[in-house]
Amino acid sequence: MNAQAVRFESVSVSRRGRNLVTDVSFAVSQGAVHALLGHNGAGKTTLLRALCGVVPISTGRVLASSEPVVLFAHARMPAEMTAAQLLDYRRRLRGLSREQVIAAAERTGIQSFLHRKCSALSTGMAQRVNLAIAIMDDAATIVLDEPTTGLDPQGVAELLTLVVGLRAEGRTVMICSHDLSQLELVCDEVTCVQAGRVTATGSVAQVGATAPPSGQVLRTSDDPRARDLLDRAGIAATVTARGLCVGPEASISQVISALNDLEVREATVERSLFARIYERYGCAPAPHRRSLHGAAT
Amino acid sequence: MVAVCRLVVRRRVTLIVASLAAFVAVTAPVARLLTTSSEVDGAVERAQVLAAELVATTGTPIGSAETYIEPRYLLAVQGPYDLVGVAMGMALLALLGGAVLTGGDWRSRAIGVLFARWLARALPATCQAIAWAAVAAAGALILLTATAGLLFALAGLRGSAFGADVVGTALLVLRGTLLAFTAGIIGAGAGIMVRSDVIVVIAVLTEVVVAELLMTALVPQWRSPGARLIAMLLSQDSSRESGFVCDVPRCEPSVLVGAGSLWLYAAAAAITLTITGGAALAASRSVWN
Repeated sequence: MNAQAVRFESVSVSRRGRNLVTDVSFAVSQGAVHALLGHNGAGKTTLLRALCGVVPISTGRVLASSEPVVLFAHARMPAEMTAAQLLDYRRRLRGLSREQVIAAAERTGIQSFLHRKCSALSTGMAQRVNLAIAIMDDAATIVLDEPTTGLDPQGVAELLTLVVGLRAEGRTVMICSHDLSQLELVCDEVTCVQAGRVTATGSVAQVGATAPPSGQVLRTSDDPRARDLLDRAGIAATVTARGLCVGPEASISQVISALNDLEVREATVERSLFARIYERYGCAPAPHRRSLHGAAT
Repeated sequence: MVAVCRLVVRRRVTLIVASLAAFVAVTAPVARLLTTSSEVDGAVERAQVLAAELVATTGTPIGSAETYIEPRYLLAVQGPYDLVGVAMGMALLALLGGAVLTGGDWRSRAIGVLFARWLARALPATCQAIAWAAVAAAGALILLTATAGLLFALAGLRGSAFGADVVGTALLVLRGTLLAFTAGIIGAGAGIMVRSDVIVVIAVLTEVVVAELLMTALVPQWRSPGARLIAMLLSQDSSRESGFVCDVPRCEPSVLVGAGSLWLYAAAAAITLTITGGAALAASRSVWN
């Protein structure tokens, strides 16, 4: 087992008599990308706040091999400052060299908008400036809170490439996000939080093995004919705009063999692995949400 | 601290406050320039004519001293009040600017990137408040000195600098600087403590409307905090002899500025220490939002 970068041991955080997280224990391996999944209000951001020490821990403790840099989703930058001024300020504050700043700027690809004011930066640009700050601080553990919020697909792809690059450098990255289909492409470990409690934690392979199976979506040379072939084989399928949807009861090999010589141009899962993990361990709303929903209906 | 000071100087609020302070600093000399004249003979003549007319009309003996309107700018008489007004304006700007700088960063959640580490946020937050107060004091010192210089020049141009108290003016400039520092630390500290600029600005506006305007208008014996502050800032010294000699029928009494009570400086130091400590504690509080 890898060394641990961060370890939560029976952590509970309460505020005004309400438990925000209760008895949370999980570990983040060094050099891994760790996903923290959970519904809104599950306690993910509270855990991140406890990690960087801005909220008091009622019981338990958080151990970290080095001080993590947490980039909160709601964090803003002083509007009138340029990205370059902000980086220069951080450089002076931390006593860093100019070379470290230049390297971080190159690493995150922010050189083209260094002289733009922070108020004029797009969400993706601001996210990258934040990452540059974390990189120039030489943080061994970087925590990203909802990093893909407000990013376009290209921005998400660039961010994930950066995350993969950070992992390649041996840094630990912890990501808290709802962008499940993108997240699963880069994560090694996952922890699910539901109503302030950990419901599952471990490697993606371990946790994923317990997730419900997914249906398949196929694009064939003739989808209506493919549906007929599958009907004859006793496999239920429907033709949709996305393609031919096959339920989770049939395996992909069964489907392929039932289609005989029909060309399968594309095969994807109906629901991503993280979406299924989320459904299995983290998406059920907290009791008060359920009662509100009930009241509304 | 150097990095924090450099950052404070570069912030938009600093530029805005500096511009407003410069405006305040030149307002008094410009207003005096526009409303004064060196034509004293004509004023004396007009006062004598008016007094004679009033005597003829009312039959009451009225001297020209009672009808004389001073057209000149007399530095020994008006200068200290003008400087105090400018110093008060700068203190108000330092107070509001400090609140907007620190409280605004907390409210807009921009504070995170300004700390080197979240765990050690008391020191940089306090440094930000002290840096603001220092910048405000430096600005006040420069602008008050410039205002004093302009008023001296104006007195030479449109009136008289006769009997002007140079030492008193210097003391006034220094006390104005101290006031700007204290107001700056109060504003910045309050911004950190309540983590909002809006609340502090509303509190200051409420004080001005209620304590300075309403209460002054409604309660005759009421002495507003602003009036007390002006008296402390002026700290008139009645023990000294003024060299000012009135050369016209009537002059307002000249003002001699004193060194001020030791309590005044002790209070400023106590406020600074208390607010700084309070800001450090407040910055260490939990950050839930």
